[in-house]
Amino acid sequence: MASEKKVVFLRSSDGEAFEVSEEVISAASVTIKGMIDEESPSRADTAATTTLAIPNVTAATLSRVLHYVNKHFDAAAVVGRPDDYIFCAPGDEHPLARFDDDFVDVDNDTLIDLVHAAEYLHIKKLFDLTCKAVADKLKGRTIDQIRETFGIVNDYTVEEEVEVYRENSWAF
Amino acid sequence: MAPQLGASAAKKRRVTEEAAAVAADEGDPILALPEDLQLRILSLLPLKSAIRTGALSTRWRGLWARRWPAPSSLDLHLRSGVDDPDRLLGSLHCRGHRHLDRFSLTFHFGEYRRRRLPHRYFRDEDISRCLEYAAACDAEDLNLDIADHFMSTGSMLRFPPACPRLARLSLLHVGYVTFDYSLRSDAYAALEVVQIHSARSVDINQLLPACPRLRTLDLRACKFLDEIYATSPQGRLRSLTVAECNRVTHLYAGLASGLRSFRLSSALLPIYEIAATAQLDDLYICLRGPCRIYALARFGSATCLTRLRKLPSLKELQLLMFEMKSSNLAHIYMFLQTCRCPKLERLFVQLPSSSSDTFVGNSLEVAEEDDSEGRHSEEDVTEDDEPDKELSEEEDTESDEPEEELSEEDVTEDELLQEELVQEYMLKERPYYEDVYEEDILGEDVPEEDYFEEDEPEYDFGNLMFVRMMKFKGHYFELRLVSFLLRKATGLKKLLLVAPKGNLMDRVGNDHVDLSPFVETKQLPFRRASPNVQIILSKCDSAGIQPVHAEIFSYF
Repeated sequence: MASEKKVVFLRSSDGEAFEVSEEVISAASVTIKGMIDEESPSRADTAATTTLAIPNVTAATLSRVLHYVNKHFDAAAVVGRPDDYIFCAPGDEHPLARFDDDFVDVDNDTLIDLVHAAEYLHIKKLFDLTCKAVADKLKGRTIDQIRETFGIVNDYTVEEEVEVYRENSWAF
Repeated sequence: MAPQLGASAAKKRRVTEEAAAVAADEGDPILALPEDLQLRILSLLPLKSAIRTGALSTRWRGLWARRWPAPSSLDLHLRSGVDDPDRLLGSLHCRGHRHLDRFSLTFHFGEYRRRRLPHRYFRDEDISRCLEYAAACDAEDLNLDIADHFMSTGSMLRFPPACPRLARLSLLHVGYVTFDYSLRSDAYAALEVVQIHSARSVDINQLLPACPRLRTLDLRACKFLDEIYATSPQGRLRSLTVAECNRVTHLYAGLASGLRSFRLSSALLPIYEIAATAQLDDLYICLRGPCRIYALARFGSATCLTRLRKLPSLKELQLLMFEMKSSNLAHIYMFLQTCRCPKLERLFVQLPSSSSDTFVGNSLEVAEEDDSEGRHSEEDVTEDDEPDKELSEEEDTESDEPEEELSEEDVTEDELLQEELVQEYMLKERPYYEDVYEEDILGEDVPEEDYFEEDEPEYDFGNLMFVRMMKFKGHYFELRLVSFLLRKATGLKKLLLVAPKGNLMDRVGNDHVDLSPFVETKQLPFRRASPNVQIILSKCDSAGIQPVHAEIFSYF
């Protein structure tokens, strides 16, 4: 069994290739699973490893994504329910909760890149995690704090701003 | 040619605006995402946080409202007897229990006179089922308005047992509402804002203990309320408004240590209790007796002020005067003295309307009363005949100034066409303010614990910058208040006196008159503590600085 463990290479948009177990990445990413399935007839008889181009994701982001995927796959293997890990929400009393928290504790650009990548690669759990992390940065803060966090420029005129506040004054 | 030029200029402007928008997006990583991802992120937020993102920038405005794929806000307007209750409930059923941001149900007058109605009336069960539906959809903003009197007075509604995500509840013109939750205190765990207006009976004291996050409680024209225990368990209450709930006898907010805003208006004088540590920066109290009006008069009587010893962070104060006589003045002084307000910046005073106002005694007449050894009774204020006669008597005793009448009703246009007369008008009663000062304060209504303002040199008015007096007619006690403020407010920048409509300012022709040069002269012998104060007598102040409560209590 171990000898048959296949790997695939993923090539990032900036040309760097990453090796990852086919089993791991197929379980995690719907997109890559689809790419592998398309390729499989042509490589059935060759021993050559497959290299898949991931044109929308940079090397830095891709390495993070793979770190996440491997970690979650290993943890799921320990628990023995390889399919369940997808449904573990962050914040559960799950061994990976802390890992997840640390994983999304990154700067805004990195986080947004992860949202993009998770969406493109169709990694539902990672997508939920990163979206939630962005939402948490919008929650329970003052407007000014959010603007500062994301570098948003307030382009309202005074009148417009007053009107926005008045439309739903209870929320402010 | 010209229109073309304008068009190209407009186009150029649009292009630069677009460029600016793109540039703005580049700085805004979330807006750089595809819109479905933006909405996905917004859908993870509670309604309140989502709404707040609308204030970030113009491109964020309204984005939150589209965060759910289907309409996530239902705003239903129904007429009983015209709209079909079964059809409504059926269509709600079809919609399923998808999440709702807002659920608003408004009933309007139906057709009750027609003999044959197309549909049956809405019954309480129908409304209750709508409420249950809203709860099942986790509605975060729930609004129920039964404006229809036929239904509102009799309706008896039972609120759903738990609305854990409800953030704002607004009940208008409802009948009887009971809350029937289990003992778990998280039945309304997210509820932050409660507004109940014109309700017949809402079991508010049952609701409040189940609202640990309650921040704003706003009760208006709820005649049934007699005791209110505004004690949310966590003491998060920031704003408490109890307006025109005339049966309220007790109002407890003793645990609300974080209270910032307290507004109370009532015909009676309820016993109220406010946390001694509450640092109010918005205070509004207006009390009227059942027949005669005592705004500040009762307010000042120390019983109800014991809990309001200090208002260290009060920045704005608005006084609505339904009467203006010696006791009212004394109470204003007393209030300012007992409740030190070192940060007070803006003071708004609404003076009584003209003598034709049923609420208000003729202040000219009152001045006369005080002068004549004050045999002062309720009837005095009601006899409204010939104020000008009394006035001329006054004048005779006080001075030998020209013979124009004081009362604005009697002033002829010709006499007031010149600007000097404005000052003259104001000066008519001037002689009183210096010599009658002390005995006036001891009018017979004044409780013994009142002091003269002179006795206590310490008023913290260092920050007072702006004073506005509405309906200023130049009457005696009004001038005394002006004089008091001028002497005490060391940092005063502007004193705005707004004349009532149809008064002399209309005839003068100018919109405003600057009185500053006359201060400390023979004409306006007021001492002023702030050398740079600007005193404006104005005709109207529609566009000027408005008090915080201008909108809220505009019906006074």
